[in-house]
Amino acid sequence: MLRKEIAAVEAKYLRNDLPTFRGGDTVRVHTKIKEGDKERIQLYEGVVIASSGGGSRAMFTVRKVSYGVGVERMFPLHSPRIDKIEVMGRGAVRRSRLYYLRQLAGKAARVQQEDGPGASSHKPAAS
Amino acid sequence: MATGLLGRKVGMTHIFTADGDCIPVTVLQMGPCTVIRRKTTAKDGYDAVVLGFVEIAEGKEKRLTKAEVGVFKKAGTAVFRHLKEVRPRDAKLLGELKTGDVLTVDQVFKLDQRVDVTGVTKGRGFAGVFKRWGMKGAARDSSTAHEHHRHPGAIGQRKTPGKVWKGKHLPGQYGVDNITTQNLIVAGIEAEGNLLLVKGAVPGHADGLVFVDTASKGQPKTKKKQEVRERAKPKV
Repeated sequence: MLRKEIAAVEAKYLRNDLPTFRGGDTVRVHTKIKEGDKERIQLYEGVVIASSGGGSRAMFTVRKVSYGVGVERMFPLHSPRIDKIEVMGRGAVRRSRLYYLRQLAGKAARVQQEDGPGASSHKPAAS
Repeated sequence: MATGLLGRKVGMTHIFTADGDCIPVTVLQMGPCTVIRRKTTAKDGYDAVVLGFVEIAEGKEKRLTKAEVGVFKKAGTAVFRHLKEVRPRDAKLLGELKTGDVLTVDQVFKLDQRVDVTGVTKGRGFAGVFKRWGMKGAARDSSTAHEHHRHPGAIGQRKTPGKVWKGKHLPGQYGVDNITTQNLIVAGIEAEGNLLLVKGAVPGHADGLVFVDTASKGQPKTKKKQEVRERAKPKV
């Protein structure tokens, strides 16, 4: 159980400007990158394959295939270095951790999108 | 002002700095501590304060011996569960402190300073050489290693010296030791709730008693550090 003292410390770092998303969703993460004195925004788009941790310690993993090479990147959800997160699509998946995608390639590695018949009504948040 | 305080370990989490760096911190609930006694060079031979932590409810002093209660009676304060003598390197730091004064985190510590944290480590019971001494053991899957995996290996020589040296690393009781972790950085102070955030891990389990003191190795020289940072900067 999370102690109230720790919850109080973490509460200060929680961000409430982020959309909700879950495993299977396609997200575009805008991260702030510092180069010398300049700061720029870098985009990273892929499928959320896992999320872990609670409070300000929450992390999520985004997988994409870049030039034929699988890339997975973990982000701290509440990091100030994340400028914003766009949800590009909701995936219709039956588990929260999609590690099986690592074994698949090409067309098989796609996640079915949640827009066909029987899909739930929630729409991607416009952020 | 005293240089240290008694407190309890709450647990670990992480926080973000303004730059976006994520740093692991231990949350400690420190004090408030009451000064039970002020020792002086004139009377006691050295300068120090004795701090009390966790007040014992009225009527429960019976659980202490008369001699123990007498200490608080003499001081004229409430009865406390834990006592700790804090002896700063420089007696001037104690200043005008007197019996009955209450010390809180924000008075004693400041951001970014170095502290030493003393606690009692988690008990591991009778532990083997892997856990206790970090030994590697023998092969896990060799046909010649029959039931010989997590073993310490050879423990001596031959007829000379004909004995096992004292202090040889062998299995035994591990944990429940008084350990001080030095030079931890104070990452945050919250006067409300009496919380002290220290970068890194601290000995002991959650709710364990800890004593946090100003680092015995001293504070880093800030000017020097800035120079180093300047040098380390990439030339753009």
